[in-house]
Amino acid sequence: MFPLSLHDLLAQLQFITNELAVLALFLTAAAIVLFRDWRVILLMLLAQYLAAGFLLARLVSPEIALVKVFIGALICTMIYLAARQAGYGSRQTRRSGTSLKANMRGVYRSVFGGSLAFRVLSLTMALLLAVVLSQSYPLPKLPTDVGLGTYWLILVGFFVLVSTEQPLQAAPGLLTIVTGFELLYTPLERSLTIVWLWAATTLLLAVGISYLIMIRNGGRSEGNL
Amino acid sequence: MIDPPWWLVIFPMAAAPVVYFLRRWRLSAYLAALVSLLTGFLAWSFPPTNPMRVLGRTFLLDPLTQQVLALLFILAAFLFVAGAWWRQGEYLAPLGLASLSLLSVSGMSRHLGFTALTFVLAAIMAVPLIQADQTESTRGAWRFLTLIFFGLPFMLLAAWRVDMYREDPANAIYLAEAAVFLLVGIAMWLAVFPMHGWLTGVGSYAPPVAAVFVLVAFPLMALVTLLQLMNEASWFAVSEQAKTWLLLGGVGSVVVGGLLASVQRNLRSVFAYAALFDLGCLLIALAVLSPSNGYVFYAAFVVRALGLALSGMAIASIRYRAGDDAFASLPGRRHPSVLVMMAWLSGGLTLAGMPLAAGFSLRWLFLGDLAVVGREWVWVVVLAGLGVMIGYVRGLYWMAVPTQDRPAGGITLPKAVWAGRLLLAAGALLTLAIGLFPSGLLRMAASLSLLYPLPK
Repeated sequence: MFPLSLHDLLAQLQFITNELAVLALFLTAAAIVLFRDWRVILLMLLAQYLAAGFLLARLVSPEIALVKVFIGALICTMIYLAARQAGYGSRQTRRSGTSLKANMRGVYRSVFGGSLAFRVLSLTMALLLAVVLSQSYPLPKLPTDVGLGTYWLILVGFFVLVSTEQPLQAAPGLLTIVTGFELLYTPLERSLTIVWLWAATTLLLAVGISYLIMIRNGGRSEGNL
Repeated sequence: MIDPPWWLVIFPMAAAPVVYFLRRWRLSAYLAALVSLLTGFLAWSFPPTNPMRVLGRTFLLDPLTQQVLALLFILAAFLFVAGAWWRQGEYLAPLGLASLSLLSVSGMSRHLGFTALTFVLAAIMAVPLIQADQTESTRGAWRFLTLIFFGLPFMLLAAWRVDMYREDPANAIYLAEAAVFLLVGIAMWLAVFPMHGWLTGVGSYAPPVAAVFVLVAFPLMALVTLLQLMNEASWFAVSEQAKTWLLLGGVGSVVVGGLLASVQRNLRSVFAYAALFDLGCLLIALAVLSPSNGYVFYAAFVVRALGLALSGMAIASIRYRAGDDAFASLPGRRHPSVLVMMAWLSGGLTLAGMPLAAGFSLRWLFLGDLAVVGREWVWVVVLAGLGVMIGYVRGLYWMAVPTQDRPAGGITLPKAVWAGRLLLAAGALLTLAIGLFPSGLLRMAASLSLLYPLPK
């Protein structure tokens, strides 16, 4: 039987504690850094929006949280369609006749890419920084664990953003920062006009990103990243 | 009844979809130019208006916003036409109108959060016109999008701190925090921090005419926001640190712009760093000018628009014929016409503040106030200006290098190209006229300065 209202749904999801949602934020952001396959990254971004939505539902009105999740889903869909339109992931070549080891290596590269050790090291540093910052400068009106998650998202997003200027690869970083900021800012802002205008801005930002993704690959189809 | 200032928002926004659907025809650019010109004159001629309340927020078209919007709309009209002549992308006219409409809301808003959000919306609208369907690189548009967007959280946090102070005036610490957030946010919008990223990115990668639009409109509206805060939010104006940071940010931009303009290897990069240099001069002027010399700062807005427009249109003309603007590739192509070279040089002279050009008298007046702060700063600005001039002269040299295999016989140029050259010649003459007889411009700026004085 389906729940009757949003509040009923949230009541049924009580088993998802704040800690669990913050853990989901940690895992999804880490996956965005570690994985190189843009489809996996977009899936992680979607999961991140859901986790942030759960946290926001407990900090502000559940309706606002639902709108944020809905906009997040819309953003992921938009970027996915833009990437498909631009031809990313359309040329998956099957190398018949190569050894199992070579195939495994190919799969590993397409999923994780190069410089994995560097990215793991960066994540470790981001984690340490997030812990130090959340203890030294606790964020206003946020529980400690949510504050830690907010710092984590902003730091990891920043790392992704500075590591590349390719829109499809950098966009999840920018959007992760935006999610981190939303966790910080939404409980502070009491004006609904500003909240809606912020939502519209985020959505339009995704439109801009999608345009750049389509253009970037318009000239030469690079296939799977 | 709609309050008259809202027509500055409604006209361009209503025209934008029409222009967009007609974008494949040159007619759309003329239509956009007409709308932009009319809106500009409308903004120019408005009598003083009262504050307006919309969505629970206060909006006010103050004299400064009014005149800056008039300047932007009138400049945009010329850019839309030039963009059609030199094929600067289909989005320049429709999205330029939409962007100006949102910038009008931003300029009129008296709530910092609302101002910031509409400013960023305008910036997002400008992304396709920066990219203009170029597939080689998205660097300029991407940097612009991310760095302008990054300013937004700081502005929203500043707005939140100001609101907190209004509820609890005993807690003055809120205002100090708001001032810090504001400075970081504005620094990003003005491309002072970090590393002048978006400004030089846009100048170097966007189609030149579109770059002029962005490099004039966004920094000027960011400066308008800053001035509104300094004039109307007394807590921000009294902060001595604000002026120190403005001075340092300005000097940083001037040095980087001047030095790097002199060593660039293509026209667009020289133009980008010259724009950075000029913006640095504006920031220094804001930091050091006394209110009695405020007119110098306002007149510099016009001069910046003129200098950048001339340079950008000259590059657009060269790229239209030669297909490239790298110095090394220029000698192998046809020589640009003398009018184009003249426009390029006069744009450079104007931005660098050299004698005979429009920027000279203003730069001279502002250096006088800067000398009071420190004579060494004056030398820094003058030397950086020489750096900009070196960049422009190098560009001119490469344009004039004899062509090895010049095609025999003349070629027939489209009428639009001739019209474009005439526009460039008119602009160059205007620069010269302002350089020789600056009193007209200064008088207009002085009347604005009386209505909206610079903060003490």
